[in-house]
Parts: sequence; structure tokens; C-alpha cells
Amino acid sequence: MYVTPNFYGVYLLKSTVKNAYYIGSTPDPQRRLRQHNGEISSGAFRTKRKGYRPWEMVIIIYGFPSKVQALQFEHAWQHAYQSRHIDGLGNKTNHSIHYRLGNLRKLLSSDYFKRLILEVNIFNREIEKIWDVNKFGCCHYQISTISWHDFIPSLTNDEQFDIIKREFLRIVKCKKCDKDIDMVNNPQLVTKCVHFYHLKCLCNDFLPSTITVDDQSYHWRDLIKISTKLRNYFNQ
Amino acid sequence: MSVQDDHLNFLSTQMQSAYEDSEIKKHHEDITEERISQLQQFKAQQQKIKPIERKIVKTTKKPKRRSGKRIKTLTSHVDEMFGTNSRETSPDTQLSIVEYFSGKKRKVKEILDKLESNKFHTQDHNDMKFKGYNCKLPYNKEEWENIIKAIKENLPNLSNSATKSLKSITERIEFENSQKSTGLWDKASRQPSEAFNDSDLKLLYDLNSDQMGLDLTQNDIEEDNEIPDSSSEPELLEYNILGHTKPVSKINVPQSFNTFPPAFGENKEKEIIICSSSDNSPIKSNFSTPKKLRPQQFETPIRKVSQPTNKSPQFTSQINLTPPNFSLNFDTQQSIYATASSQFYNASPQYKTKVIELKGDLKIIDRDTKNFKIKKIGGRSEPRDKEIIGDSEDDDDNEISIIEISTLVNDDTDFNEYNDSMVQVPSSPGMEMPKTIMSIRSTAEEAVDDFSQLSNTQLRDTFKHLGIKPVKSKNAMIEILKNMDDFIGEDSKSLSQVEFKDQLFKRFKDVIRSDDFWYEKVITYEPISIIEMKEWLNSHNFNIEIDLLEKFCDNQGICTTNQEQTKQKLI
Repeated sequence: MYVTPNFYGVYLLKSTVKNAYYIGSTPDPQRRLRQHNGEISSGAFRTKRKGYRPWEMVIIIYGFPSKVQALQFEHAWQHAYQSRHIDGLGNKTNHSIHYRLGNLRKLLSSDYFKRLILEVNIFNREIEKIWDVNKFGCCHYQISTISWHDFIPSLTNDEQFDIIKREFLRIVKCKKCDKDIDMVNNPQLVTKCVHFYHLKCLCNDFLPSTITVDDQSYHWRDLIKISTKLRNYFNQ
Repeated sequence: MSVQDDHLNFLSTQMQSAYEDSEIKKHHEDITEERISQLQQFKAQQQKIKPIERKIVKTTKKPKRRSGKRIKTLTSHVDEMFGTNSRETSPDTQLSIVEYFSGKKRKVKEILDKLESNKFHTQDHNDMKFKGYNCKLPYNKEEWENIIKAIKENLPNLSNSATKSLKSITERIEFENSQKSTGLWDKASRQPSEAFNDSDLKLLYDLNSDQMGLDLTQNDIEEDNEIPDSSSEPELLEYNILGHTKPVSKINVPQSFNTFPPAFGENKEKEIIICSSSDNSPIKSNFSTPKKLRPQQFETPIRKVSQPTNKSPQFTSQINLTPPNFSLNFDTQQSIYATASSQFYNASPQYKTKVIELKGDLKIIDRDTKNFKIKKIGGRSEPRDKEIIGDSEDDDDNEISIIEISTLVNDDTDFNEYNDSMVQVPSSPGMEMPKTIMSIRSTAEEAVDDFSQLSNTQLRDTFKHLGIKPVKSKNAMIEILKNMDDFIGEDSKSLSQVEFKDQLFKRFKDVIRSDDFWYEKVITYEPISIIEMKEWLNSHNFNIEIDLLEKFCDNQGICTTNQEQTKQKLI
């Protein structure tokens, strides 16, 4: 049964000692950073090198609906010159931050990833300035600048789901098609935005990125997260 | 110094020692100065000239460079820079300047003489404007280069104006030079001349009737580059020489060709060596198989001629018969400027390569003989069936080795596979190989409903037109086009690329939306295995190629994966 991961992000590490960067992905940034810095075991080989630790996570991109897609994004970012999704800046030897950020912009607006409306958060002020410079004049993209301290705790927030879960314990009706939803006996892909809906009933387009219901807009990826989780929960 | 010391009272011994140090220094300086002045008299005279020389350069009137560079005659330029008219320099310094330039006094005199003579020559066109480049240069190219070298050595720091003027002179000389002799590219692009030389005639008279086939000449004639029709070009008859003992004289020449572009098909091992007249070495070129260009591009491969031997087209008067068992090896190292209707014949052996995947981890010794080559490119492991759990003996079964076999293309039967000619002149008629004699017409214009009637190239053209990768075998291509048409319900040829894609994607969406299972997968962004999707489509009798599916998924943001779907991995 497929479930959307709670959190899966692609990050950019920067060495605090030397001018070096590393791109990786993780479902748990806090733990991963500690691994890179050697506090826990199994950090990456590249980040083990002597003069480079400690590392700092400067950018994180999240909102991927699946782990596979996040990995594809990571690979495309690492090998932008080769990727079929974008026309990458530079070539194999261009490692500077400007190239990385330029390629990031391009990726975020590429055909394949643009529908996901991924969130980008930059932790480091200097990197934020470099991002604003936009040296290669690539596409615009909105970023957030939440600090590390505030960002980490927000990831482990499952309360909302619990509440919704409970509501589906009884039989409800899909507001759009007016049919009964009985999750206990017949789990389907359903979600809740104020009212209850079948996931399919919400789709006007083939594959929407945002949905507006009752004058409120929701990100599609949030809705599918809820629905897949529900399906998973009720299937057990 | 000690006398002076008496008059000074120091507050501390430190100050006193410092003072004493400075005194000593002064003393030293005085001594050195004295000595220098003594030595000055021995200084070489020439050294004085250096600074003076610079002065001259600086005080010359800078030739006024207006926005549109005004070109002057060389001599007038030299005049200005070093002329005797209005300068206040003495003849001595002038001589020494020039001496500097050339390094030898003897030469200096020569140069001066030349200048003088030129001065008189160009007295007439003293307007200083180039008039048809008729001025004579005092130096030829080599001499000037030597001069420049000398200048650079001796005067490393020339002022800007000086360097500029020298540069302009060099350019001028180069230009002059280039005017007279013909450049490489001119020669390459020239059409081989068809006129008979005396030696040609002689040759022809000496040939027997069966040797009359060859007719080769090229000259350095400065004609207009006429592009003759294919009919007027001399025929290239049998030159199938292997085994024949055709004594052919040493001919300095490239073939003229009937057809164009390079035909990959005709790959018999015909080798003809054309020997130059002066030396006995055969002209061999490194003919590298031209890379396959992307289908939409169109380039004319104008081949370079490198003429290693003398340029004169005159054949030597003796006609030496080459030994009977030679082989003529003409490659494309000839000047070729062919029309769209001409063809090349490729003399180097061509290989047809196939890539095979065989089950089992095979070990293959790479073989490379004349007729065929085998090598193992790589291997991969095939994903196992979900249901079958293999035992340890089964390990090898899941390995697949990828082998590449190249066989020499001997026949003409494999022509159709190599229609991928580099040059696609969209509107030109016949790019066909000699074998396919069918009537030639451009693709999109003629509405041919039945795909099987189209020739290979036309099928490929439609593929490119629609933006899909063409396949090798003709049948496959036909099938693909048919399938797509069935899928869409419209004639794919009649649509432009964008329209075609729109229709195709639309159809995809409709099909997917109609099926609950697949639609759910799509909207939850579940990573989908493309192969499974293809199989599902096949089950509905929609046979669409994988690359099209991929394009659709990329376009829509549907996540696709090649990985096997297991429960735990995706979470």
C-alpha cells in the first residue's frame, strides 16, 4: 500500500571550514546532519573528509510526494548538466554555489517538478543573499527563511492527522458526489478539507497542484498525504 | 668625520651610533658615486641610443586613426615613423634604429636603399590611400617576420602606437601574400576541372581501351566555381580494381563525384591509390566515418584537400607504370564540392553493428578480424520474477550479457538500414541509395495512406517530424505509426508536431482517467513502473512506444521508476 512520506527533503550541506558543498536527501534532517558531522554513525563518505567537518545544512527542499521523486530530484541537482529535466548550467566541473543555486531554480520550475510546488527553505543568511543575486538570471521562486531551530520541531507534528483519523471512524458523506464513505469497511482515497470528499471527486484537472474548496486553497500534496495515510491506517 | 664629531653632543649613545651609521652610509654613497662617474666614460655608446630611440617613437605623430580605420601605404607609414623629412634626428641615430631592427649593418643599407627606391616609386600616389593595393612592399613576408622578431627581442617595451603600426604592417603583408596565392579553402572548394591537359591526353592515348574508364584531373585553375550538373561530370566507371592489373600512371588527382551525400551503402573494398607525380608516396587520407548528425540538421560536408605535394598540376613528362598489383586507394581526400544530387562512395569498410542480449553471464574473448568483430559491452542483471524464488544455482540465469557484433557490410541488401544519410536536404529529391530506384518525392506533401508504401527515409522523416526516435527496421516503424494512429484516431502525418503531441497526451489522459486503479496511482503521485503501464496499455490494444510514455509522464509530472515495486521501499 503506498503512503506519502511524512517528510522527505533534499538538502544542501555547506562546510563551515572550507568552501565545499554536498547534496543529499533525507526523511530526518536533524539526524542526518548529525550523521554527517560524525556524531552518529553512518555519515556519507564524502562528508567524512578531514578538513571539512563540521557541516551545516543551508538549504532544504521539501514537499515531495514520494521518496522516489525526491531521489530523482537529488540526482538531477547533482548532475544538472546531464539531467533530462533541465538544461543544466555549467558542466561537470562547476561546483560553485552560484551554479548550484541556478540549477536549483531551474529544477524547481522544470516541467517535471513544477506541479509539486516544492517548498524551499534557506537557513543561512549568506546563502540567501547569494540566492537573491541570482547570478544566472534563472526563474523566480519563492523561498522561506525559517531558522533551523524553528524548522526542526515542526516536522514531527502528527496531531492533525490523528484528529482527522478519528472523524472517519464513522460513516460520512462525500460532499461532491453525495455517496457514503465507510472507511472502516471499505477504505478509499478520501480526504477532508472542511468537508469530506473522495479524492477523485476533487480533481477537476487531470492532475491538480492546488485545489480551491469553499474559497480556501489547499496544496494537492497535503491532501494526498492525508488520504494515503488514511487508506493505510484503515487497511490494517 | 671625527672632526665633526667634536661639535656634536648626543644625548644618548644610541643616537650617536645611529648618527655614525648614517655618516658611514653617506661616505659609502659618495665613494660609489665617484666610481660610477669614473666608469661612465667606459660605457658603451649604444646605450645612450636606447632612451633616445624611445623618444623618437613617442614624439612621432600618431597616425590619426579615425573611427573607420584609414589604411595607408606601407611605405608612407614607414616614412612617417622613420622618415627623413621632418624629423630632427640625425642620420646616425636613424641608422642605428634601423640597425636595431635588422641586427646587421649590411642589411640596414639594403633596407634603406629599398626605402629610397620605394619612395621614388610611390611619389606618384602620395595621397596615401590604397588604390587597389597596387603598392609595392619593400619586404616580403619572411623578411618582415624576421624584422618583427628582431624588434621584439631588442625592444621589448614598444609604445602602443608602435606596436599597432607594426601590426598593421604585418597584416598588410599577409593580405598581400594571401592575394597572390590561393588558400587551402579556395582549392578545396573548387570544382575539379574537366579540361584535358597535354599530359592527360598523352596518358589517354597510352591507355588501352579497357583502361579508358579512368579520367581524372584537377587543376589549380582560377575559374568561377561552377557547379556542373550531374550529367556533365565525367563518369566514374568501374574502378573495381582488386585483382586487375591495370597499370595507371601516376596521377595527381581526386575524383569528381556523381552523387552526394556520402553513401554508406556501397562498401566494397575498393581501394585506389592515387600517386602524386613528384614523389612516390600514395596519398592516403584519414577518412573518419562522419558522425551521425541529429536528424534536423543539414550540413554540407565539404572535405578538405590537403595537398601534400607540389601544387603544379603539370604531370611529369614520364609516365611511369606502376607495378601491377597495386591498389588504388582513393578516399575522400579530394576536393569535393558536389551538388545535392551527387553521391559519395565510401571506400573504407563499413560495419553493421548489432547489439544482442543473451541470457547468462557469458565470457567472450573480443575478436577483431577483417570480417567481423565481437565484443562484450557489458552485462546487467535481470530483475527476478516476483513469484519465483531462485536457488543458488539459479544465480547465473538472471545475468544478461550484452554483446556487440559488427559484421562487414558487403552486400547491397542491407542498404535500407543505412539510409540515415547525414545530409537531409528537406526538399531535395533523391537521397536514395542506388538500389532503391523508386520514384523520389518529399514526405509530408504526398498523402500516402498506406504506410507500407513509404520508403525508409520517408518513414524516418515522419518520425522526426513527429518528434519520435526512429527505429531501425522498416516494419517496426510502420507498425509504430499504425499503432499511434489507431490510438489517436487520426492520421499522424497530417498533424504538426505540437498538435500530434497534444492529441497523444490527451488520449493518454482520457485512457488513464477511465481506469480507476491507474488514475488513483497517478493522483497520489505513486511512482509508476513504466513497463507495467505499457503492459496495461497493451492489454487494451494500445501499442505505444515506451519513449512516448516517458515523455508523457515527464510532461505531466507523473513519477516513473524502473525499480521493482516492493512494499517497504517506497515508504
